[in-house]
Amino acid sequence: MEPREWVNKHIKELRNKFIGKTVIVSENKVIKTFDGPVNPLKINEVARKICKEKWCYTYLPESEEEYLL
Amino acid sequence: MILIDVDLWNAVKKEFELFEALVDTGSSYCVIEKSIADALGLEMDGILHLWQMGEPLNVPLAKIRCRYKGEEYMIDGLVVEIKDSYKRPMLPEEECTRPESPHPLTNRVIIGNTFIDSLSEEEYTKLFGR
Repeated sequence: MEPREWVNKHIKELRNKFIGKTVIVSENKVIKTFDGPVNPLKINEVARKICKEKWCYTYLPESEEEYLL
Repeated sequence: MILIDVDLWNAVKKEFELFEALVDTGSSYCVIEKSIADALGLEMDGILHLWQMGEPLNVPLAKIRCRYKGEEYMIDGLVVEIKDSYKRPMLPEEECTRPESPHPLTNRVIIGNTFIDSLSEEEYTKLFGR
């Protein structure tokens, strides 16, 4: 399964388990977590070193996202 | 809320970088945060003048080279500067002065209509038909 597809499918579990964290997902599992939101370029740097397959990241805030006006 | 993955070209490192992107059909332009745009080596391409609520908003325009599902696009984007204090969650003493969550551009880009309108009919349907 594509990493983004896996995240979308498991978003509720991820939000419960990793609240307030940024997670890198690859091979249908969470590979690494960071506290809070992280600069995407830093995430790319780390993911390139630790992921063998396709990956993605997502941030799981404590509250639901507020939209921009 | 629709989140997708897009690759943006890093002109400094000469490689694509993966970004989580928030699809926003209410945004005419794609939007990226300034410190990230600077790190990607994005070249500014003029200023766009907008009305935002009661005051003008004058923001730099940039051409963004991006890749989505294997296809490359060159899209018009806006570069906005976000205060560092908005790049973290709200603190208790900031209650009622700002939203609780960090600014969405802290760790994402916003995908607006300059990108959405470039998609093929098939990709458009896949994106919104899920």
